[in-house]
Amino acid sequence: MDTHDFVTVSARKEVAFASQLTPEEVLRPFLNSLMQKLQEGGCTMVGHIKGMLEDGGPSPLFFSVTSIEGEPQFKGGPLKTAERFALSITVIVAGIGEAEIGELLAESLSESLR
Amino acid sequence: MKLIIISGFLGSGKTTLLLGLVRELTSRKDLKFVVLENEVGEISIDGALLEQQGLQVRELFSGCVCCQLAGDLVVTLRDIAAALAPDAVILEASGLARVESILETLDRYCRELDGVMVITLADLERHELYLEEPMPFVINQIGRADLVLLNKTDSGDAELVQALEERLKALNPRAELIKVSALHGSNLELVAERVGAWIRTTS
Repeated sequence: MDTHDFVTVSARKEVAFASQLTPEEVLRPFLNSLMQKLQEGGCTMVGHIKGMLEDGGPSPLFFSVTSIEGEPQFKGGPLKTAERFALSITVIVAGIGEAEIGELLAESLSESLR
Repeated sequence: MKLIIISGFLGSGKTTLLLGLVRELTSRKDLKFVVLENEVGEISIDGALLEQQGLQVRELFSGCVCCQLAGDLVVTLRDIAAALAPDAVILEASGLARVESILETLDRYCRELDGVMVITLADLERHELYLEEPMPFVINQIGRADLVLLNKTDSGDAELVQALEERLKALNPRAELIKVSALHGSNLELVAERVGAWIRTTS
């Protein structure tokens, strides 16, 4: 395996979730769903999945995952109570194609986040 | 102007190290830095994190400075030297970068630099990357380093740490190896000491 075996896909999406949930409570199931789909889709190695959730304030919430089994790490925030957020994410993995990653990412986003 | 390249595999703690290192350097030494952030993704995420922490950041994304963005790297370094004249630029390379290719580009097209130091992080949590069959670009990142940092050592068992230390030393016998926890700041003062001394003495 070498550099060219890794594929990078980035996405940005406006999302909304119930205000009684913390951003971490919303992002965990989304990331778990994405990891499961990537694994089932043939991902052989997670290089890095990282992103941020922004509410327009000065302190975005950053997240990072570095393995299929790994727990997401969070940094930054807290976000203020808002109805809509901007989610930015970059997925760098091996063993699966760009189009497939894009589809799985879109599926996880639509299933886990409105 | 000197250049410090921070390299290491994806997720090895480069951005966290960079934050801690710049804090250490600026708190104890009268040095001016500019951070140059390279991400292979189309969206700046680490750059946003560094800016949120108050650092002066220039960004190169949607590619790697070792290949697609090699020309942009040279142009950006020249711009920074002309416009900001810092003591040093700290480049966070993408986790997929071949350090050797970056050094070749700089050697050929960016001779105005006063020196280049390569710091490479190895990630204890992903010890299999180094102990089993390392990927060629990971071997290259370790092999071309002036300083190798074994990161996330606060949570690892002693035998594993020792095995990884031995492996890293075999991959690069000439580099100093320092065990750190970039997240918790352990040993970053020692890294800052090495980097600060290098900035002041190299020409």
